[in-house]
Order: sequence, then structure tokens, then C-alpha cells
Amino acid sequence: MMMFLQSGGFSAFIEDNIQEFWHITGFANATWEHIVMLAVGLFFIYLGIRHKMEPMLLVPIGFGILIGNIPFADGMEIGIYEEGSVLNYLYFGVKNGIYPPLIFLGIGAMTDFSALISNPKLMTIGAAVQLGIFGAYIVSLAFGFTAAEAGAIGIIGGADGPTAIFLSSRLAPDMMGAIAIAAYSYMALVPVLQPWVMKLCTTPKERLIRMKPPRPISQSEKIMFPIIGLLLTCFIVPSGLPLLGMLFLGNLLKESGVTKRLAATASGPLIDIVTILIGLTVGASTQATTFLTEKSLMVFVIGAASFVIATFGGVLFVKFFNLFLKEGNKINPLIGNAGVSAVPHAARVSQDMGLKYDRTNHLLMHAMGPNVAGVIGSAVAAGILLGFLG
Amino acid sequence: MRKFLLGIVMTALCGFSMSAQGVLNVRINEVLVINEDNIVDDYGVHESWIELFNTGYERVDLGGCYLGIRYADRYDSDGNKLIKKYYIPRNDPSTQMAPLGYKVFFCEGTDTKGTFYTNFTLGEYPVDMVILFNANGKDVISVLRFPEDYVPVPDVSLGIMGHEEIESKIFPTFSRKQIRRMSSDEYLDAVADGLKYKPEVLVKTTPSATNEVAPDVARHEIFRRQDPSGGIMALIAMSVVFLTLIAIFVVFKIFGKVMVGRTNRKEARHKGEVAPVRNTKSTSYTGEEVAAIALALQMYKSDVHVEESTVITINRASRMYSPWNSKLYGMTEMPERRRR
Repeated sequence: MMMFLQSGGFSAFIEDNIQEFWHITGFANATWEHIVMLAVGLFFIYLGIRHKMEPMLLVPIGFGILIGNIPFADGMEIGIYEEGSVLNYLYFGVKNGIYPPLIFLGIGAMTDFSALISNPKLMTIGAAVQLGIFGAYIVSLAFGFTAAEAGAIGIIGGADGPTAIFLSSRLAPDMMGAIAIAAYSYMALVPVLQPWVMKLCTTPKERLIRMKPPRPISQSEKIMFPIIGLLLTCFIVPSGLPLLGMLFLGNLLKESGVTKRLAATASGPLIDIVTILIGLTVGASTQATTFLTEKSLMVFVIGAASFVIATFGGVLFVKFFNLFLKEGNKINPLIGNAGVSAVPHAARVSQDMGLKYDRTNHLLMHAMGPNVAGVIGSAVAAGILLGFLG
Repeated sequence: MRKFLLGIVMTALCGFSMSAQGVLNVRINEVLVINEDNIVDDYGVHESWIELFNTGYERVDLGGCYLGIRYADRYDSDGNKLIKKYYIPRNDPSTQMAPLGYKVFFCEGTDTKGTFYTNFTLGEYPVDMVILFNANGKDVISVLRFPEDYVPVPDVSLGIMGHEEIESKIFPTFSRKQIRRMSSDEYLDAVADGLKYKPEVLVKTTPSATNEVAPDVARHEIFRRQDPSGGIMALIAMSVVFLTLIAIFVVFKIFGKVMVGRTNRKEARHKGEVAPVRNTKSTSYTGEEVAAIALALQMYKSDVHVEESTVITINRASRMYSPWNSKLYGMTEMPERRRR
């Protein structure tokens, strides 16, 4: 021992260990990409808490970005992409498309389809808005993405986070982080992205259109909707079954009136747990090394464009549809934007815009129709893309 | 008796068909020089291999033929490139090739493991040609000459396309005299030069199977090639989305009408009068009315303060049972029977 100390072995030993420790710290492994991503994470948390923009999503995603971008040395089994790490286990649900259907179960259990059932023609707006998805698909192909990648990017236009994750996990797993972040970010930015398009596409007279109040819906209709909806949609697009099946199951649990506990679980604790897990892991999947690429930037640009195309599609379709409707039955084009499935943010935008031009014209309930139709529409669109490109 | 005779004739014909002539239909179809993750031999070892293919529609016996290689940079005493041959044993039933059948020989190098293990290897020294000789060990049945710039890649094979073509028919023909005048290298190269199909690096390594497989192109890529702009996809997909949602629209439009009619009839029955079937306005509210009700509810709710005072009163509630121990909480309520 004395000899060991005298030979300077001890100090060398300590020095080696400190050096080794230094090499595994985040400071030693940090790159500018990590710093950028950490700033993005902090910005998301700021948006969620300070401006209350989709806090349920942006806060876990933002924190996930922080977790995923703490620099570390490879091989420690802590990274989300390292097999055996806890995050990797949690990420399994994203990678294999397990979480999105569970979220759809909760969404189904929370969604009231009454507005849609009372005025089923609003369903077509939910279809028209899917133009955003396929417009973005065309744009992505033009920018040199593969067809699978283009499909995954296009789904951002559906404004549906779980659907975007579900589809990208199957078509373009490498781009899932960017696509999910873009989808959720733009969902939060619906109040910024949509109003100017709505204003641009409508005349002052059209903005003042008053719609017929919805008729009351019976319990039987509410029960029949998820059953008929499932059968019709999934017979036409079976590849949408995981999402549509869970959506309609959740809704049946809610509307049947005899499974209140299940509906409460699906719309409460279950969706909360899955939201935390999906937010955290999607955020953590944006590791600087894999996320900060030219492709990711393109995803953000095309994603924003897809929202704009979708809004154009919805509003212009309503204007077109009005040509065939009698006076008194016309639809206010300001609810055209609500066909994107950002529930209920897009419907709120319609309400705000409607009130801006007529303080007594409440469009919220009318806009909820295309809004929930958009959920079905985007799931159907995802099924089609999966069927063709998967 | 007739059947018996027919059987004898058929057997004789089959035997005759396995003639030496049939062996000319055999060709060297595929060669894998570096085998890392491809098939293993009977001893579980990854060996380089040579695949023979019987292009004919009759059985062929390979027994007595020679499978050989020509080294690229080793020479014999005559100055020709050195050829090493493996004698395929006679009287081994396993050497018979079915019509359009395949046989794989592992180039193991020891000649002691069985019929399908050659006494040469492909990886030890550079090889430029694989040759199948007939029973005299001189006449060539098939050759596969490696391209000049060929660099073996692990698990990527070299093979001949043109599955149905019988190679013996596309062989250059040389007379005995011509062959005698040529050196061994000249003869083999002349045969290789005259072949219609040259060996090429295969898209997929396919031991004991045809080389003509569809290239492994992803489905989305095929779709992209057919629809490079994405316009067709957009059109089809939008149509399907519309079709799906219009189907729901139509069903619920009809369903809604039926339900409204039923409700009206019920209401009318309660009132003791027959109501018009299409009266939908009886229970609806205008937007202003809805807004007024919502506003009243909001004002009422905001009037009920959550923080009424700063005094907190805690009432102790004694419970005999809790959801954890009471069966009462777990029981499903008895359904109420409605009586009219």
C-alpha cells in the first residue's frame, strides 16, 4: 500500500477516475445540436405553461425533448434508442403503434358525435379537409421524399397527433419524431395558422350565415352511430381498423350508458397515462443526433403547408357545397376549417371567427360536427395510406 | 397385363432418358464465393458453393462428370491456367438431377465429407472460372467465367439469367480437330466467349432456386414509380375518404328521418293528437336561446364560489364500509323494470 502511494499510483488512480467520470458527463458529450434541442424543449414547456398552448401535450413533449437530449456517452443503456434502456421499453408502444389506438379509445369515450348526427351533411367537410394530407403528400414527393415518407409527412395535415404517430411508425419510423412534433406543434398553432386562410377565402356576407340549430338526438341514434360508423368505415378501409375500431369502441362505451366505469377509465386515467407516455417518449425520440437533419426541417415546412391546404380545402368545399343548398340550409364557411381533427381547437377557431363578425352567431356546436368528422376522416385517410404504401 | 407391359416400357424409357446426352442440359447456374450468412452445409458450416441447374425436361445423372475451377494466377507445366477438378462419384442416387432441378456443391476443399463436397475451395486462391466437364474430363458441358472486374462480395452471388434456355443449344460448337489445336485456356475462353448469357451479380442469392426473382422493391416505391407526382394517389384516396363519409352521411340522414318521425309520433300520442310527421322545430332552440341558457348557467356557476370563506370545517365521517371492503360497491345495480 505504501509503495502504491509512494509511486504516485494513488493520485494517478484518482486522476484516471475523474477523467473517466468527466468523459461520461453531459458536459463532455454536449454538442451544439444538443443545445439547440434543449432550447426547443424549453420553448415547448414555455408555450405549454405560459401560453397554455396544448399544455397536456407540449409539457410532456417538451420535457421529453430535455430527457432525450441530455448528452451521454453511448453504451450506457439509457438512451431511447439503446436496447435494454427503460426509455426504449416505453418507446416500444410508440414504435409498434400501441399508444395511438389507446388514445383513440379515450378520444372516442370523450367525443360527443351529436352535432354530427343531427346534421350529417357536415360529414363531407371532414372529408374535404383531408385534401391537406394528400396535398402535402404531393408536395413531399416533389421534394424528393419516398412515397412512404411522403405519406407519413402528409398525415400531419390531418392534425391528428396519434394518427400521425401511428402512420409514421409504420411508414417512416426514422422520421416519426419530427412528424409527431410537427403534428402536435401545429395542432397547438391552429389559432395562428387558420384564421387568415378563413378570412381570405370568405366574403363578409358568407361569414354572417346563420345555421339551423341542431335537432335533439335520441339515445338510440347515439348508440347506433359507433356501430354503423365502424362497420361502414372499416369495411371500406380495413387498414384503419386499429384507430377506427378503438375510436368507435370508446364512443360506444360512453353512449351505451351501461359501461360508465369503462368510459370513465378510457376517457380519464387511461388516456392520461398514455398521453404522458406518448408525450414523453415522442419528445425523447428527438435525440439531436437523429433529429436535427435537413429532412426534419422539411417536415416542419411541409407540415405547416399541409395545415394551410387543409383549411383552404375545408372552407372552399363549404362554399361549393352552399351552391347546392337552399337558403336557410346553408352552411357558414367559417366552420370549414374545423374539418381538421384538432378537437376542439379548430372548432373554437370557428366560434371565435364567427363571433368576430356577428356577436350573436355561435358556431361552436356546428363546427363540432366537421371537427369530429375530421377525426374519422383522418383515420380513414391514414388507413388508405397504410393500405397503399405500407 | 397391359398395364404391366406399359410399366416396363415406361421404366425403360425413363432409364434411357437418363443418358449421357441429357447431361449437356446441365449448366453452372450460380456461384457464391464468400458465404458468411447464406446457407450452411450438412455440417453447419458456411462454405462457398456452386449451383448446377438441369435446364432439360429429363432426368440427368451427374455421376462420372467433373466439376472444376480454373485459377486466375496459378499455372500448370504447359503455361495454361491451372485447373482443379472434382470427380463426381458414380452410382450415387443423389447425383441424379430431376428435370429443371438444382444441385448445390459445397466447395469445402477436403473431398472427404460426401458427394456434394468438392476437393477445392473458391476463396483460397483467386479463381476466374468454374467448369463442368463430362465423363472424359475434357469436354466442357458448362462454364461460368467471372467478369474481369469481379470482386466477390459476402453473400452476393454470381449467376446466369435466362432460366428456360438450354445452354447446350447456345454453346459454340468446335470440332475435335479445332479443340485439339487449341490450348486448354483458349478452348475454355472460347466457350465462355460464345455463351449467350454472361454471368451477372444477382439481386438475390438463390441456392436451389431460380435466379430470376422479382427485385426486392418496396411496395411504396413501386407505387411511386407508377404515380411519380402523387396525383393519382390523391385522387383515389380523396374519393375513398369522401365515399366512406358520404356512406355514413346517407345512413344517418335516413336514420335521422326515421328517428325524428318516431319522436314526433310519440309526442303526438302523449298529447292525444296526431302530429305532422315532419315537424322538427318543436323541440329545437334558436342560437340566441342556447346562448342565453349557457350564459345563465355560467353566471349561476360563477356565483357559487369555490372559496366561500377562509374557515375550513372538517366533518368526520365514519364509514363502516369502503369501496375496498364492501361488496355493495362492487355489485351491479338491478335493472329497473319500467311499467306503463
